[in-house]
Amino acid sequence: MTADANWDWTARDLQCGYGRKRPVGPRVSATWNRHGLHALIGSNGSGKSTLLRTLAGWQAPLHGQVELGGRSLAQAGAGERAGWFAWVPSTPPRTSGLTVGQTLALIPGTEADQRRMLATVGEAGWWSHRLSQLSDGQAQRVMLGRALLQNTPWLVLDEPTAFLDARSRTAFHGLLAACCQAPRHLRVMLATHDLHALETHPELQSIHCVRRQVLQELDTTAGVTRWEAAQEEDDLQ
Amino acid sequence: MSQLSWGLALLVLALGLTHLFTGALHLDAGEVCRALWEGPGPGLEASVVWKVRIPRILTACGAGAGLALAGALMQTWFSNPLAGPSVLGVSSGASLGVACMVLAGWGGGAAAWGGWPSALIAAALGAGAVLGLLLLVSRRIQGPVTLLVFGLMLGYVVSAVMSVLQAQADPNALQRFVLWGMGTFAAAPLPVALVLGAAALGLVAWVRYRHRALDAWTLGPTVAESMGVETGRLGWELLAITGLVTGVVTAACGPVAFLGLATPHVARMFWKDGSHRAMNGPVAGLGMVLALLADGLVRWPGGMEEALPLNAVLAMGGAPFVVWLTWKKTWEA
Repeated sequence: MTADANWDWTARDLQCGYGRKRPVGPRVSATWNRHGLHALIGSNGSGKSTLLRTLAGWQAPLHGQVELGGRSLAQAGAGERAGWFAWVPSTPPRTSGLTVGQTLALIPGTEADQRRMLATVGEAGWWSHRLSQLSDGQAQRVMLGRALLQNTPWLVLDEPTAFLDARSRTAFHGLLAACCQAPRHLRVMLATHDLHALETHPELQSIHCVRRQVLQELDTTAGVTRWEAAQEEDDLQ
Repeated sequence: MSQLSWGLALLVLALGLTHLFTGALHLDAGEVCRALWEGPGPGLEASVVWKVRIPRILTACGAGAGLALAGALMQTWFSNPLAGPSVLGVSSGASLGVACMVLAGWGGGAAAWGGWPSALIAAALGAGAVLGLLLLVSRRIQGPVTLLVFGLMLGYVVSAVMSVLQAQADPNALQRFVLWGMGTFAAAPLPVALVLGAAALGLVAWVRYRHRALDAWTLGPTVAESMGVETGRLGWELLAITGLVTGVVTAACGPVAFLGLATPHVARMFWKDGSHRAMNGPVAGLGMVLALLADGLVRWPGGMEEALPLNAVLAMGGAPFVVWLTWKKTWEA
């Protein structure tokens, strides 16, 4: 993945939702492009997760469309999209019978690469452990490693640190920051409630927030503070 | 293959041979071998071997392997260790298909109970309909308990319809239907037993072919989708093939309980590798072993052909096992 290739991710008049007419969240028109961290914030139930899944093509939109590098997602197959977006869920899988090694080996590649990835995101010794034997923090790092092995321009994460303790959270964000830097130059789309992690994040490129059924872009330097104030204002009303 | 898997294969073979050489009618080993060698024929020995024992062994093996794999796949798909054909109402759906045939006299009338093809199709359609409903519902609801409750309630509705059919049916059809409901591996003739074996083999082959996608699914629907698995298609394939197998088994053997639910758990106790490729053989093999063992217990008292109902034997063993398993899981978690 070269850093200068066109991986612009664009939503045009996009409306997410379920079934035929159950819209969820705001109408979205936006473009994300540079490598680094792009954050999506908003209160519970504001439709962040649905927006992420629709943006990555894992759920069909009710209206509008999504493009990646000028290609419409609706015309791409599941296999092609798997080369564009890799996903890290908010909870690690708890019922899987797979070992860490088998999880990483689901992505085509050499075992040496997979073991090297495990050593980067976690510890090499986890290889033959079952996913269910790991702590949530450890399993989330394996899930991050699995997503990174997909070698996509975009990494999509839905509140990946929601169930982690403070130390695991810091470690996870450290890994994410490293992925945004050379040589990977990854583009990361992160839905999160963890505003303090954003404020100190070295690779932060953009913040979008969903508030009162509108998606708006915030200033990356003072935006978070202002957004918190706006939320308190909402709470008072 | 590991030592454990070789042991399992030997066990299947040993149990199969035991059933071939022993039975209600005493034949010595030489007579059985001669009947095997000479093929199906008019003699008593040939009839016993080719019309009674071989279909029965094949039926038990096909039903055991098929139900065990169907149970394992449902447990994977619904991320629910308590899923299985008899738990989620899938066997009930198949029973309803058969009941409509036998009791209500659809598709050829009650006299056509000998019409195996229509019975197999009716049962597969019934099982498929229930699985389709479960698949649709599972997209809308969250949480494993809700799905179990839904399956349970579906089972009640199906039983209600069946009891209405039973109240209206003529006594002969009713008696056949009640006996069929107790479960048996002894009813299917050789062609049906072969269909059953083929269906189970088809299931083994499908898991073998789709093991990567199934493994990816255990990481979560969106993770699987993001890896390029077309989860919608995977779901419909799984639905079609497990519905078909459950339907065929139910038509041939009655609504067989517990094999589908319990066998995958027994396999997981001995085989530690939880990937679908590794578990395929052990689950199918253990299904055969448990089915053949149960069929041995069925005729154990007095050595008669059918001393005990199959479902009674399976429930006596299966129910305490599942209670113990749930108990253990609760206290380990």
